[in-house]
Amino acid sequence: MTREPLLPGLGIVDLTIIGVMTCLGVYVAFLAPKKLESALGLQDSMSMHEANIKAAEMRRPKVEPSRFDRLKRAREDVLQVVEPILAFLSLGAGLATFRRPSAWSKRALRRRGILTLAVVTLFFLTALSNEFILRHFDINTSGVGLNPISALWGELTAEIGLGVLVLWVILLLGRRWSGAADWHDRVGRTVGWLLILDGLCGSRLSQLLY
Amino acid sequence: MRRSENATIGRRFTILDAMILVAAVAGGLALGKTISGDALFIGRFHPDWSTRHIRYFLLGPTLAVLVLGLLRPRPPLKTLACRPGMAACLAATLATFVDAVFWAGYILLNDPEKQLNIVSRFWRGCSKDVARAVPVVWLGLLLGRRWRPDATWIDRLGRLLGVLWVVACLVEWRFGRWLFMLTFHYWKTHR
Repeated sequence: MTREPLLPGLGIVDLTIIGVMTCLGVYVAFLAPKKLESALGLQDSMSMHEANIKAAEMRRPKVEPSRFDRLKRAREDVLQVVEPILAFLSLGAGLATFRRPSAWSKRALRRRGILTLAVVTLFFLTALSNEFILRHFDINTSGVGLNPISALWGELTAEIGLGVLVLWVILLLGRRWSGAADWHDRVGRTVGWLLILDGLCGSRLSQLLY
Repeated sequence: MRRSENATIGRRFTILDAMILVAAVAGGLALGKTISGDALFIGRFHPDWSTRHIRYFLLGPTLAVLVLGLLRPRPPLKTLACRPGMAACLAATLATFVDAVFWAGYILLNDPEKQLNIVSRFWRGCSKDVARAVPVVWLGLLLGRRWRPDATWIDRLGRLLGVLWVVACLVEWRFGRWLFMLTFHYWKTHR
C-alpha cells in the first residue's frame, strides 16, 4: 500500500549528505583496516587476527584452490566492500531524512521505509559510538580481545538485517505494511531490503559455505 | 483502528496455561543446562558468557507465551502482532527460527553424525541475534507510536520476557563490554 508523499523531494543538501556518506563508506571499504585503526586512534585489533590467519594457513595442507573456493573468496571480497558502504549509506539516508522535523511526526514514522531508516540509523549510531569509545580509549584491556575491525561491518549489517526482517514481518502480520510515494520512504525500503539480503546472504550464508 | 480491535479480550489463567508454562520452564532449563559450562569458562567475568545459559532458558517461556497468546479467545492477529508483549515473543521466535534454518543447513552439509554439541553450539551463534531482535522491534513500535500494551496476563508476561531480552542485549558482547570492564575491575581490586 503506497500513500501520498509526506516529506519534500530530494534537495541538494540531502544529495550532498547521502553522497558524502556513501563516499566515506567507499573510502572505509578500500582503506586497510590497520590504517583505519591508526587514523582513528583505535586499539590494534588486526595484528593478532592476521597472526591467527597466518598460523591457520601454515597448518593447512597446500592444495590448489578449487573453483568453488575461488568463488567463496570472491564473495568475501565483495561483501567486505559492500558492507561498509551499506552501513554509511544507511546512516547518510537517515541523517538526510531526519534533519527535517516533519520526518519525526507520527504520520511519517508509520511509513515502513521511514520507520526502517529511523531504527537502522539509531542502531548504527549507537553501535558505532559504542565501538569507537571502547576501541579508542583502550577500555577493553582485560585479555579477552576485541573482534577485528575488518569483521565489524559484516557483524553490524547482519545483526540489523535480521532485526529489520523481524520488524517487517511483525508490521506485515499487524497489517501496518504502508509506504509513501516519496524518496525518503523509497530509500528506507531499499536500505531495508539490502540489509535483509546482507543479513541472510552475508555471515549466515558463510556459515553454510565453510 | 476500530474500537473492537482495541478492546481487551482477556482469557482466564487455566490449567492448560499452567501446564504449558511448566513444560516451557522445564524445556528452558534443559536448554540452559546444555551450555551451563559457558558460565565457568575463561570469560566468566564477561556477562555475555556468564548469562548465556540464562538467555537459553528464556527461549522456552518465550515460545510458550507466543503459543498461549495464539490460543482462543484472542484478539485478531493484526491487533495481537503489535502488542508489545506478543511482538517481543514473536521477534525472539522469528530470529531463532531464521538462525535455526541456517544452522540446520550447516549441520546437513557437514555430516550430521560427526557433529557434537549441536544444540549448545547453535545458541552460541544465535543468542546475540535473538537478543538484538527484540529491542529493534520495540524501537519500531515506539517510534511508530504503536506501543499499545494490553492489560492481560499474557501480554504482561510477554513484556516481562521482552524486558529480559533487552537486558540480554545490554549484557551481550557488543554492548556488554562496559559491564565486563566494571566486573573485571571490581574482581581485580577485591580479589
